[in-house]
Amino acid sequence: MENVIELEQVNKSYPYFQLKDVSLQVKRGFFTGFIGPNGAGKSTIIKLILHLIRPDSGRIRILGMDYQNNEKEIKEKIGFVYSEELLYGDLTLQDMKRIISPSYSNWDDAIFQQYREQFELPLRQKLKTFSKGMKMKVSLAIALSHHAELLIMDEPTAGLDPIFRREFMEILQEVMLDENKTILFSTHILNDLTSIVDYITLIQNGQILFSKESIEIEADYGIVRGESELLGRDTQRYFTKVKKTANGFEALTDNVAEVEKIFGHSVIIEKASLEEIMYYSREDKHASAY
Amino acid sequence: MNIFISNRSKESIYNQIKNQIKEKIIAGELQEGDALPSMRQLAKDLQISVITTKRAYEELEKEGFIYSIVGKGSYIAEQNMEVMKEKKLTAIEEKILDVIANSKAVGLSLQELKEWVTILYEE
Amino acid sequence: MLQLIKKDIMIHKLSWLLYLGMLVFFMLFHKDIIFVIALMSAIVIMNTFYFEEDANGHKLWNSLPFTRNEIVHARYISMLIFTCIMTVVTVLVQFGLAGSLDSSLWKELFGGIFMILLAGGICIPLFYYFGQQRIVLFLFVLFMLLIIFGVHAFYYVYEFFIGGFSSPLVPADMIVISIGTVVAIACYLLSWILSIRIYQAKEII
Repeated sequence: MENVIELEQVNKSYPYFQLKDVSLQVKRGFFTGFIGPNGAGKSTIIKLILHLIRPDSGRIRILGMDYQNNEKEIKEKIGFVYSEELLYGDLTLQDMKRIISPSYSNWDDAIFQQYREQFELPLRQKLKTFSKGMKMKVSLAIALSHHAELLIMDEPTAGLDPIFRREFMEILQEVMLDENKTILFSTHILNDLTSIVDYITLIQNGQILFSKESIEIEADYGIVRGESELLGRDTQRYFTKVKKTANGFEALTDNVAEVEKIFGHSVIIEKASLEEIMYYSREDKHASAY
Repeated sequence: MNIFISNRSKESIYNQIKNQIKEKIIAGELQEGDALPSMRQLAKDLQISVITTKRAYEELEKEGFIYSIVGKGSYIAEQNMEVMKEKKLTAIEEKILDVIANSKAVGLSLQELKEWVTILYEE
Repeated sequence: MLQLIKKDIMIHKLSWLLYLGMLVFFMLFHKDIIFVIALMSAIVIMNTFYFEEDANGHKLWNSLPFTRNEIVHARYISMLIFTCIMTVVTVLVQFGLAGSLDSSLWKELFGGIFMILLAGGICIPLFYYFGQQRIVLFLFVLFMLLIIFGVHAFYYVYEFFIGGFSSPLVPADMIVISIGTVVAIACYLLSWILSIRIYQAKEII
C-alpha cells in the first residue's frame, strides 16, 4: 500500500517542547486521525508536513516527493483546513475565490460552486460577517475545489457545534468515496472520529505512541476491572496503566485476548473508547509504585 | 441491500456486516453474480470506516462467498449447493445449541423440548 | 508569483479610494510632494502587511503552491508598483491643481521615491522578522517616523549642500541624485536579500 506521507526519524526542538524521533506513514485512500492531548505535538507535526516549519533532522516525503525539489507540486495536491480562519475579513467570498483560485493549476470552479451552494454560502457578503461554522465551510470548499489528493486538517472542528461537526464528517466520508484521496485529520474531539476513521495515530509528549488500524484498536484495547488481589508482578505487563481504588483496580490493556485467557471471568472487560485509551496512555510523572 | 449495524454490540462491526451478507446469501436473498455495493459506498452509507468494510469483504472473499474484480467491484460468488446446505445446517445447528442452552437454563427437559418442537414443526 | 502581486493590490479593494482621497487632501493642504509620495506609498504597504497579519496570510500563502522566495519577491515588487501608482497620481493631481508642472517637480518625485525605498528597505525585513508577533503597530509607527524624519533630513541635506531646492537643475543636483539613486537601490536590494534570508528561516505558526 502506497504511503502519501512518510516521516523518518524527524526531530524538532523548541525551548519547552520537542518532537522526538517521529516516524510515521499515512496510507493513500484512507482516513487517518491524529489524536492526543493539547500540546502533544499534533500541530507541530502537521506544520512539518506542510513545510510551514522545518525539521532539525530527519526526512519528510509527501506524495513521494520532497520539499527541496518539488515544493509547488506537493502543495498543488494538498488541500488544507486549519482551526483558525485564514480569510481576509473585508473581502467577500467572491473576492477570496478570485485571489486563491489562480494559485492552483487544477482549480475546478464547478466543484467550488457546487459546494458553495451545498453549504449555502453567500458570494457577496464580507467574510467577517460569516459565523465560525460558515468560515470553516469556506475553508473546506476551497480545500475540496482543486482535486487535491491529500487533505490535511488541523483541528477543523474545534469550537463548532455538534450538528455542524457531524455534517463536516459526512462531507469527508463523501470525499473518501474516491480511493485516491487521503485525509489526515487532527483532533482532540474524539467522538468525531470514532466511527469513520481508518487509522489512528496517538501522539503524546512529542512522541508517537502508536499508529494502528482502527479495527485493530477496537479489537485489542479494553478496560479491565477486577479485584486488586488479581494483580501480580507477572500480570501487570498486560496493562498500560493500572488505577487502584477501594473497590479494586481499573486498567487499560492492549491485548484483550490474552487478558481474557489469563483472568477469564474473574474480571470485567469492556471495549475501550479512544478517550479512555488517551487517558490511560498519558504520561504519568509519578509512575505508580508497584 | 439492507444492513443494520449496532455500535453497542460486543460483536465487531465488520463481523456484523460479514454475517449479515452471509445470511442473505444463505437465504437466497443475494444470488450468484449480484453486485455488492462498493466498500467505500457501503462505508459511507453505514457511516463507518472504509477499513471496516474492506475487512468484511476480504473475509467474505476468503471464505468464498464473494469475489472481487479490481476496478469493478465485488460480486456474489457461485455457491456450491452441497456446501451451501452444509452451511445452512451449521447455522441451524448453532441455533439449536442456543435453544438447548436456553432450555437448560430454565430447566426444560429434553422430552418437553422435543414435544414443543414437534407441535411447532407440524403447525 | 504574478498572482501574489495581484493579490497585494486586490486585498485593498475600496481602500484604494480612501488612499486617493487622502492623497488629494494632502496635496490640497500640505503640497509637499516628497512627503505625500513617501507617506502614501508607506500607508499602502503597511496596510498590505496589516491585512496579511489579520488574515494570518503567512500561513495561508505558505500552504498554497508558492515558495517563500516568491512570497518575498512579490511583496518587494508590489511595493514598487504602489510607489509608481502614488507617484503618477500625485503628478496628475498636481497638474490638475496647478494647471502646469514646476520645473523642479521631478526632483521632488525623486525625493519621494528615494525616501520610500530607504524607509521601506529598512522596515520590510522587520515586518518579516516580527510578523505574527503582534508588534505590527510598533512597526507602523517606526515606518511613519522614518518617513517624517527622512523627509526633513532630505531637505536639510539638500539645503546644506546645494543651498536651495526650487532652483532649476544645477550640476550639484546631478551628484546628489546619482548618489541618492545608488544608495536607494542598494538599500532596497540589500533589504530584499535580507528579507528572503529571514523568511526562509521563519517558523510559520
